Amino acid sequence: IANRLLPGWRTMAMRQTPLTCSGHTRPVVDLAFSGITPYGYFLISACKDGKPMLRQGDTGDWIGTFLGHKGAVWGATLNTDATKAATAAADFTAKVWDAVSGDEVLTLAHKHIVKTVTFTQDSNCLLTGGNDKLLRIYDLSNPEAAPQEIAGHSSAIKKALWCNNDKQILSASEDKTIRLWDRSSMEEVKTLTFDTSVSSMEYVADGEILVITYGKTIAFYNALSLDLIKLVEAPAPINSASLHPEKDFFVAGGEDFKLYKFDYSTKEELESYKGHFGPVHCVRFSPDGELYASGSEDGTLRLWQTAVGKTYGLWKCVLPEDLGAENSEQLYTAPEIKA
Amino acid sequence: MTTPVSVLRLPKGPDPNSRGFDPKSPRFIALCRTSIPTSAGSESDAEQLQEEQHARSVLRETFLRCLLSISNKKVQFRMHEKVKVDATFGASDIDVLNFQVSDLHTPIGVQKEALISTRGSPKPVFQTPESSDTIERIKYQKISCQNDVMLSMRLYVDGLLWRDAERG
Repeated sequence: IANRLLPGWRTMAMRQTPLTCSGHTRPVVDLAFSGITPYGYFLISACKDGKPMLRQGDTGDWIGTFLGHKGAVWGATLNTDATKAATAAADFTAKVWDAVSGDEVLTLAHKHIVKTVTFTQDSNCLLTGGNDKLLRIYDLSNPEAAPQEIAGHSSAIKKALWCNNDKQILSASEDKTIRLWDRSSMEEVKTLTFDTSVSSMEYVADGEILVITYGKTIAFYNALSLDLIKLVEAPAPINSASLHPEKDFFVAGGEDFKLYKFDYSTKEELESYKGHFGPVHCVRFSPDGELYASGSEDGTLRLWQTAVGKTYGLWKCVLPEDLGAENSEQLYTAPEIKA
Repeated sequence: MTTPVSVLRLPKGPDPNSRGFDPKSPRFIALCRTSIPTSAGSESDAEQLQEEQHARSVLRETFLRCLLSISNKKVQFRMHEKVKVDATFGASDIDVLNFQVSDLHTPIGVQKEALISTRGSPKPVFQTPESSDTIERIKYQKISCQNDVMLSMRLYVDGLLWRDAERG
């Protein structure tokens, strides 16, 4: 609930109206935003139904479905300008797609379930990781060539990311470690060990911050040194968290189906929202920080406003004197969701 | 008392009849590589455009006739890892994403009926030749003929070998 300061110093408490994006028929396990492009920004969702979808980022409007995978899709990503997409699936392949036409461009065969995919900033290389415990780097300008392989993890890789200007790689595994690798030497530089395997990892390039979740903890590390910056405890086990681009907030979601918003500096819990009908598996801020998207076991994605009540995307700020006025636009009021 | 934030409408959901990626959207028009020079150019010579459209429709028709002609014929597919499989061709779906085949001989046995995925790529896109006088250079190559009856052919799409087909 946020308070809107209105003329005359009256305040009106506004309640968050999440926007529900339907279409998937199974749990949504991963999502990613593109950068800001001349056509806005975009959102891709990975789903156990095997059909990743592309949506307009600020409205949630469906743009297209990438058809081709034959198993659950565990990871999905977009390049910065949203011209390419990549997906990781249980059919032992990673695929690269043209994100404008929806056509499949490349299939990269692996020896086991692929869990994570990510592009370098120039979109020329693709990093993959999965249940075969190997990190692979593909040169997309020469896809027939064998990928470079980095071994070291003793269990399945859940998430892999480029960092430090694509000079290094961060990987999180079921072996309860997060490892930092040097791309050119392919050597392990540093390892973080936890009591349990990490549930999610997000890299914030600006400021080199790594956001990690495990148990009920959301942890922030320096991505270069892997030194701990701070830890925050949530009320429930957390599956994913995301830091706002301005680094004033972060959001988290997990097993109690709720979304939590915290103040990054004070670590204070600011807001929490019910809405999903199942555990939240992934949450990410949009590149402009105006909204965050969550994906859930319930098969939906939901978009949430950072500043509740602000006019943005499909949300419209309506002042009380306009409500019921004869010349007011027809507005849709979302039905009350009784959880 | 709290007031829920108003929304203009709900996010649009998927179209049940299509995989989306609207080719009429501004982003698609601006960014999709088209290999068709005349259509892509801003100043299109009306006559050249018509010629090109004619060539494209000839190619499309040829492609469809190829598909019809190999119906119930033995064909060979090249799959991943250089595996070749023989089957009797049945039909293609409208997006050329799947082929219905019978009697599919795989390395691990014979499948009476099967669907083969074409991976969605390459999607048949018909390119016009550089100059209009080579309009006959269509996208299939006769491999062998007997008394003008085509015995086998290779179907090329976007310059890539897409299909070998033989009269059984």
